[in-house]
Amino acid sequence: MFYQTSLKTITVTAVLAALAVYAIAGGYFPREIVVEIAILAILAISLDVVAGYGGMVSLCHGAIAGIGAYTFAGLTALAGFDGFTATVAALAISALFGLVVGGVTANISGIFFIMATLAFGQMAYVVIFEWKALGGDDGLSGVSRYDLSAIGLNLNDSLQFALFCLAVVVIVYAVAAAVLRSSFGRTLTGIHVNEDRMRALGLSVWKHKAAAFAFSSFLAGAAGILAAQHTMFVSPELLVWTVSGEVLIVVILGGLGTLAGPIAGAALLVFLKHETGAWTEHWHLVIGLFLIAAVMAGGRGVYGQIEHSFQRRALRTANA
Amino acid sequence: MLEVRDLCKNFGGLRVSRHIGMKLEKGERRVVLGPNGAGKTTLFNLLAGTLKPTSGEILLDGARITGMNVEQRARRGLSRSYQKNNLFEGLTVRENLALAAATAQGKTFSCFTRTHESAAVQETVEEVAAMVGLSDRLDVGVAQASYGNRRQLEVGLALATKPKLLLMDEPTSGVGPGMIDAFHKLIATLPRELTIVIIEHDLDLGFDVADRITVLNYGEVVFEGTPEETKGSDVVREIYLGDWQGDA
Repeated sequence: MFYQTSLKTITVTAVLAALAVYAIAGGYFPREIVVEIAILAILAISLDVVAGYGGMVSLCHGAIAGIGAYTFAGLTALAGFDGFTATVAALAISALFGLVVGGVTANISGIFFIMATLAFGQMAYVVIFEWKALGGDDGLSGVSRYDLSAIGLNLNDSLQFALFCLAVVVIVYAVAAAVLRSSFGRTLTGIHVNEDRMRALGLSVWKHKAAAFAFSSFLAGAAGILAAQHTMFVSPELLVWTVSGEVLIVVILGGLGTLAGPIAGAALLVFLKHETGAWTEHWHLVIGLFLIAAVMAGGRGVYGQIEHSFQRRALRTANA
Repeated sequence: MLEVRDLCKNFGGLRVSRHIGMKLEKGERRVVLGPNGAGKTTLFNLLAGTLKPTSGEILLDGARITGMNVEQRARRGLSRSYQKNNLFEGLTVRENLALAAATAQGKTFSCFTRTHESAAVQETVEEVAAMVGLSDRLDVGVAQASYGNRRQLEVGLALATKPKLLLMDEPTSGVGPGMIDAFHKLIATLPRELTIVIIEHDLDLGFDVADRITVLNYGEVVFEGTPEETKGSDVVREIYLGDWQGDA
């Protein structure tokens, strides 16, 4: 069951505050890193909702974010829609795609579920890759950032855009936490823990899993919208399955089924990538070693391990 | 209330349920007896919808439910407890019961309200916990609960859905004499309008709580009658009771 514990609040606040300070104190490059972390964190939160709390390990979340990015880019750069309308449409289409994926795959489990989501992701990739009106393999440029001049913000400024992305992380985390604490979230956890018993209690498991996937895709769509605005360009590379794989690594590194962990995991992965990338091009090797260590150390991830230690200490204190 | 007509189940060439017929009135307590391998749990799986019958019909309140799946039958008021604990591990007793109560009350799709903590759900949780004797264990994790408490919770989950028909698969399996007494009292205090089918190996409990007893052997109904008739049946004594004399 998800509970917004003090540890979660402190962790999320500390990581996001540190990133904000890093963006404010640093120059252009640190701000780019912060934006990269924020987008990855949103995508990882969206994946954690279904994988960590619903037991649905998806390999198409990168593609879903890509669909959100392309919808936003297409509507703003090609059709001339305003950012707000394009955002609503991008979130809706991402959620709709998630509903289809979730609806088709809800009765599949384990490796077959992973493979089915991978297939959906690859289908989306191929469609975008071949869609000439959206630029095909050349991608689509000319995406503009939100015009928030009415409230005195200029998102073309790298610092303001970085802080805006961090604010979106907070919103996405708060929405995900609220849903996981709701009856729907509790039911989703019940399905994850004992799907057969939930059926025996009279629950339509299929309907709830499909809805959970749609909600998760809605959040993933938000990551895609930010990704499109970040580079002001979208390409089919956004939908490649390795993006989904990287998001899964972030969730595992941070702590599957913790919600706060993916934020810490995103920061860890991006910093590791940039730091190790500075002295070797084989940074994947270092990430791989971290991932193996995280899995072998109980599979709880960095935040998950900290949370586990606190819980054990609390239990020992209570029993003493 | 529940009617089973000519129910058969084959696994390949193996016939595990053979032409089973049963008719239960509302509020009846029916105990199903039979030696190991008689097909008792298979019958429960057929009634609950976990298994599809090879042939035959099942009717609940006059409606044919044979083609319905587990969740559809549960929504029609059929609930079951399992021989092996089938709980929500990692959650507390309260969270387990709340999941069951909220599901039965249809409070599972609310995305921004915590209806699992609503007065209606918590009232059911408290009521069922009191019924099964877990009132002082509500905030204990299932992993930390004793085996007896887990058996109580197993039955509690089924009761929290407020069923019309309750299937209890060996509720006292593996528990001590004190807990058997507790289950005896629990069954005796359940609402009389609730129809119950129980698979039970504790014969004293079975004879005490049953209005009627069905005896299965090799997948067939070999006897049906009142507890007194069952005790006096030569067929039953021969295939199941052996030299059993009871407490008297």
